[in-house]
Amino acid sequence: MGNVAIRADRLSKHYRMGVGTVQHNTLRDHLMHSLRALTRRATDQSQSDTSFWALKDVSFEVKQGEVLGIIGHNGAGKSTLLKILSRITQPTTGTADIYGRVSSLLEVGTGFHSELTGRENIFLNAAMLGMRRHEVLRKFDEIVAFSGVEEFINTPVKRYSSGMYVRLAFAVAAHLEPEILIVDEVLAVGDASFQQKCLGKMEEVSRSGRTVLIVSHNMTVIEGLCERAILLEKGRVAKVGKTHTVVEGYADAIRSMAGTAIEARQDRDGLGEILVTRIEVLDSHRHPVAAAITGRDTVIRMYYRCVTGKEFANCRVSISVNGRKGQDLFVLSTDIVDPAPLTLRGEGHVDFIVPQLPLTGGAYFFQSYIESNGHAQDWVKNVAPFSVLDGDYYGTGKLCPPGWEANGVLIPYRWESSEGLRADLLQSRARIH
Amino acid sequence: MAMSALEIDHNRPAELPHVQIRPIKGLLDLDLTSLWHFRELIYILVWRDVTVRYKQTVLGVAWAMFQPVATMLIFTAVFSVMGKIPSDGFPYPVFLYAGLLPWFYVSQALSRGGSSLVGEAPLISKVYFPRLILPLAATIAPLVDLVLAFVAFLGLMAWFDVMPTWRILLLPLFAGLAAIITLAGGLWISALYVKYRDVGHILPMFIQLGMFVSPILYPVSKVPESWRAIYALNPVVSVVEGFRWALIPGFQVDFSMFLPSLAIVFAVLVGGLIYFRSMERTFADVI
Repeated sequence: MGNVAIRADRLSKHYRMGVGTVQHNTLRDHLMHSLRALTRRATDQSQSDTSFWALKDVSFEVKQGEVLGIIGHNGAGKSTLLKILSRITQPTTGTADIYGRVSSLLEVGTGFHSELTGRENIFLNAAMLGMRRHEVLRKFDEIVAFSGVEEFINTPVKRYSSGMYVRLAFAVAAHLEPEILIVDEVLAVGDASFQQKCLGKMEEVSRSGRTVLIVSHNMTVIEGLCERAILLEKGRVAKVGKTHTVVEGYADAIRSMAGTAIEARQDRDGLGEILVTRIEVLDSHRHPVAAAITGRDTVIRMYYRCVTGKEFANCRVSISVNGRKGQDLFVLSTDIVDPAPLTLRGEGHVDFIVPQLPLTGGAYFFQSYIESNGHAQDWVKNVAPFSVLDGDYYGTGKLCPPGWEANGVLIPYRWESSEGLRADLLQSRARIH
Repeated sequence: MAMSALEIDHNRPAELPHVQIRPIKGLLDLDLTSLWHFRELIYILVWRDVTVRYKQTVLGVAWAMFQPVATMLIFTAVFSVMGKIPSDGFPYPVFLYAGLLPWFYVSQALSRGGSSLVGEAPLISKVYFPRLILPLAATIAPLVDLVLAFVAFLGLMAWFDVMPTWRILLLPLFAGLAAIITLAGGLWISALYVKYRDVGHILPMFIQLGMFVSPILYPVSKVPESWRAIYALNPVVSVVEGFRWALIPGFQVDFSMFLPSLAIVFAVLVGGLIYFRSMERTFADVI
C-alpha cells in the first residue's frame, strides 16, 4: 500500500520527578524507586530539581500493514512512546499523525473486575478497548473458544487461576479489529502453548494488513514478528531499520557498555557513597576464572569501596544476572538468604556462592546494586560480561537440546512415572513372597 | 478533546479516520462529541457499578430499599418521637423518606463520583477514553438505587394512605436536577482528588455535614426567615423540596427561592467541565 499509518514528528515528553510519575518497566525498578523515594528526606533538594526528558525528538514513520518493533533498555522511553501514541498521555512537544482506528494493549485484562463473571468481563474489557457491543456479540463464541475457559465462563474471574485469567484477557484483545494495534509486552504471559497461540494470532493480525507496533524485551519475538525495528536509548531514537540489524545493535550496545570498567561508568544511580569497583567470577577455590562452567560451584565476587570514611550499617548488596539480550534471569541479594545485618566500611568484597551454576553455555553480564539504610548507594546496569562454558549440570552429560535453552537457566529436577512405581511394587511384592 | 484533536482528513484516499496527537494547552477545548463516541462505555460502566454492588450479597438489590427504610425508622424514632421535630403537618415518616430519597442519591453519587478517577487509576494509565466518562457513569449508577428506594416509598405511601397526585410525574425532573448537581460537584472533586489526596479525607466529612444543611430531617419552615436566602443557595435544598412537592400531596414550595442556587449549579457545572478537561491531560502522569 505504501500509505503512512503513523507519522511521529519530534515527539518529546518531559517529566518532573516527584510531581509526575516515572515509568517503570519492571516491579524491581518500581520497588527500588519507591524505596528510594520513601527514604529520601523531605529536605532533599534533588527531588524537586530532578526533571528529565522521557522522550526527546522521536520521529519515525510506520507504513500501513507494517509490523514495527520497539526495543531498548528499561527507561529508554518505550512505554512513554506507546502511551503517547495511545493518547493516554499527551506529548510535551511534537506531533503524531495517526491514520486509522487504534487499539492499544498496554496490559492484559485492563479493567477486568474480579467480582464479575468471565462472560461479563468480556463485554467490559472489550468496551474499554474500544470494541462495539455488536462486534463483541458477533465474536463472542470465537473469543470464548480461543480462551479455552468455556466451562467457567459464568464463574466470577476471582475464582480463575492466573493462567485462565490471562488467557481470557488475551482472547478479548486478540479479537480486536483495529487498523492499528499497539502492544506492550503482553506476550510475556501464559504458558508456553498459549504463548505460541498468541504469537500465531499476532502473525495472523500482521498478515491481515494491519499495522502493529510492538514493544518487547523478548528479542526472539521481535525478530520473529517485525520487519523493522526502532532502538530507543535515553528517550532518543538510537537506531532504526531492519529488525535483525537493530537487534544486533542492541546486543552490541549492551556488550560494549558492559565492557567498560565499572568504576569508569557514569550511568549509575544512587547516592554514590559506596561504589561497586569490580565484579569477578571465581571457582570454588576462589581463584578467578576466564569462564565459569555450567554445574560447577561458582563464586561471584563484588568489590566495593566506601568513598567517605564512615561506616555504613544495614547494607544490602544485590547482583542480578542478565542474559545476552538483556533479559533478567535471576537476582542474588544478601538480605534474602540471610537477614544478618551487613555493615560495609573501607574497601572489601562480598562473595555470592552459587552451588552448581545453573546457566548454560553463553554470554552473560550483571547488574549490581548496593544500598544502606534503605538508600540506594550504587546501581549500575549491564556490567562485567562473563562467559559460561557448557558443563555437566545433571550428571548425565546432557543439557537441553539446541533451541530449547530458553534463557539459559537450568533448574534441578527429577522425574517419576507410574510405570516405574509399579515395577518397584512388583519387586517388593516378590521379595515378600 | 483534550488529548488531541479529532479531525477527518478528506484528502486521504482511504476512509481512515485521522487523529493528530499534539500538546493541547487551550482551556475551551471541551469536545463533548467524543462522549457520544464512547456512549457504550458509559452504559457498560454503569451496568458494572450496579452489578458489582450487589454481587454475592444475600439480599441483593433489596439492600437499596433496606437502607433508606431502616434509616427512616430510626430517624423517625430519634427526631420525631423523641426530638419532636415538626414536619409541616404531614406524617413524619413520609416527610422524612421523601427527603432521604434524594439525599441518599446525592451522597452516593457525590462520593462515588468524587473518587471515580482515583478508584480507576489503573484504567487511566492503561487505556484511552474521555475521562469524563468516569464521573459521569458514577453519577448515573446510583439512579438505579434511587428507583428501587422509590418503589419502597410507594409502599410507605400506601401504608399512610397518601395518594400521589399528577405531580409525581415531574419527579424525574428533580431527579435529573440532583444528577446535574452531583455531576457538577463530582467533576471538581474527582479532578482535585487526582492531585490532592486530601480530598479523600475531606469528602466524607463534607457529605455528612451536608445532611444537616439540607432540609432532610426538618422542614424549611423551621429555618429562620433571615437565614433562608443564604440557606437556599445550597442546591440540594431545591432538590429535596422538589421531591417533597412531587411526592406529598399538598406540600407547598416557593420555587422562586431556588433560582439563585440553579445559577450557581450552572456556573459550577461549566467551570467543572473546563477544569476537568484542562486537568485531564495530566491525569495519567499524576495519578
